[in-house]
Amino acid sequence: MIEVEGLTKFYGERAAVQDVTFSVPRGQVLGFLGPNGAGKSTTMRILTGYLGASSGKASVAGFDVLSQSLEVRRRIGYLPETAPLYSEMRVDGFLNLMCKLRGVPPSRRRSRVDDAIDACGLGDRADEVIGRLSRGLRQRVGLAQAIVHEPEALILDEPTAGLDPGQTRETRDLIKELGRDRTVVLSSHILSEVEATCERVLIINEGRLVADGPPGKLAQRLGSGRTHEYELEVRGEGDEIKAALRELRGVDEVSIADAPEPGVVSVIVTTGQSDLREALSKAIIDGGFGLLEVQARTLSLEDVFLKLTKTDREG
Amino acid sequence: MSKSSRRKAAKARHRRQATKPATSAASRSTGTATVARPSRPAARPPAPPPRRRSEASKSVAPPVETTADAISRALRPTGLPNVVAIARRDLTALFVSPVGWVVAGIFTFLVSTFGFYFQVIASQQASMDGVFSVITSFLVPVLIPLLTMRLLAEERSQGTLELLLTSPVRDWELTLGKWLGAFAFYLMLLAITLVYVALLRVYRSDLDFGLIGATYVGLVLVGAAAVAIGLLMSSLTRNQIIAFFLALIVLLMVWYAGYVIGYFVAPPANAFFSYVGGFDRYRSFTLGLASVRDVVYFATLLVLALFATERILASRRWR
Repeated sequence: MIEVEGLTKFYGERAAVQDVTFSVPRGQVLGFLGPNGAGKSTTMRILTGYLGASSGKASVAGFDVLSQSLEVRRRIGYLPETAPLYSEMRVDGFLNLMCKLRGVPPSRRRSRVDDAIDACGLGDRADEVIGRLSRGLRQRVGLAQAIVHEPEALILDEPTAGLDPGQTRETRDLIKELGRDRTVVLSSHILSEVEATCERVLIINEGRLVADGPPGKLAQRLGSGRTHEYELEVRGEGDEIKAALRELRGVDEVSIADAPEPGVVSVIVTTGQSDLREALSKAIIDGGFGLLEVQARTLSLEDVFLKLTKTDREG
Repeated sequence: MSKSSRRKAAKARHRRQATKPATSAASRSTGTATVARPSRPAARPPAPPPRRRSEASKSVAPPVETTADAISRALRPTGLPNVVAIARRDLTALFVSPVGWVVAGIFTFLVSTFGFYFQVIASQQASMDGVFSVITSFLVPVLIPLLTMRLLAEERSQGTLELLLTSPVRDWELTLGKWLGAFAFYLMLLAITLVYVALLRVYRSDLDFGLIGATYVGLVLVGAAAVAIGLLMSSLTRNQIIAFFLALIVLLMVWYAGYVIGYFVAPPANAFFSYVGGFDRYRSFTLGLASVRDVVYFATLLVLALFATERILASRRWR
């Protein structure tokens, strides 16, 4: 559905996107993850034909985004970063205008507008002026305009930015819902969001693609070798605990830090083995320390993300 | 077929219809027949069942092309529907926002006081000169920039430009639509002044309609070019105030080129500047001469400004 090859975009001297290559099959929900300024918006703007690439190619549904821009634009629904809308228009009037501009035949505009309003939960707000709507509702109008002409692919730039937690969840559900029968590319700098909504994640940093895969596998693969970490809170002397735990089979590394409670230390144990919880607690109790808490930490996407962007900066 | 079996068949059909679009569980359990296209229910379940929309539109409404659809499909390649849609939005926006009313208010005030009252009633000169001079000295250089400053600058600063240009709208369609919206408003303001022509007719029976008509042709052309120049200035910046002053300065420069530049230039060259100045080109219309040369002059300004605007919009792709 979406093919991107060697995409590079320079703003003056600075490269916003460098040699990015990926492809999105029809029906996939893809998350574009990266810190602010990583090149997510630029890539999306190139895909929608709003900006031109400095070099490289991109196509949507087989149409080149530059030379067959109109064909591409007919097939996509795009929600720009801040959900820009005409604030003096009414919700239904605005959606009707968008229908017109995207070539929906007159006889079907009414039902398309109603459907989009329904799908985005704007049922009772259809005749309100957009400027008076709350941030969350405006975001929904933005989503409604992206789907009003029933596009094959949706490109959503930070669809939940600036929303409160409740609105964020609603928007995510809506995106999941929309992604059932459409190709969706969404960008975010919030990891949990991408983890929750996307089948596949691309991590982009400083204009370069640094990882590509399903959110679960990505965390697994990139965290291989040090998959498990245990965080323990133990009452006792730090050095003694460290010595006791180091002897355990499978323990790679033990680090000790002070816990807020006096006399208690927090211990982080790293291991390559599968499950050490029992062995750890037994060792602690046998050693005569007080075990207060054991917590297994698997590497989350967040850790992967931080790791990737950090090593990139160092290298 | 017996009555009961017929009823049974009807019921089965009904059930099929009811389940096909797979609306919310609530409406299905009540078994109402009005499920073909769900109206907006107040209490909608938070997660609507999947694929409801696409299935409903496919099964219920096989696309039948109406006459309006056929016309719009035939017109679409010309880009005209987009131009008209954009122009209409801009024109309505002027009436919804205070800008349009302020401009119209200031204009009617000036034209009725300075243009008509002082000229016709106070000075007892039954001519349209006062009205026309308000148009050329105030409406065109000051109020047109007020109308045009927001055209693209606001779209840029609000981000809606991105919305328009990622829709299947060509750059020139947007340019032309924007120009048309503001130009239509200018024509409305111009139309208001026709009231004074009618009033003058009451005072004078020998009113020279040929002369007045030629002047109006000139004013329409001047306005068309001025709106295009204002639009061009609005395409250069995202700041409306800057767009306003740029347009004001450029319009005054073009209009008074003969006086401003010509003043500093030695004789043979100053004739050139007064020749290319808008004022001299417009003056022939006020003398009743709608010459091809002057029509071409304003048409050229119009086309050049629109072309430059389109190029500036397109430049985002290679910058």
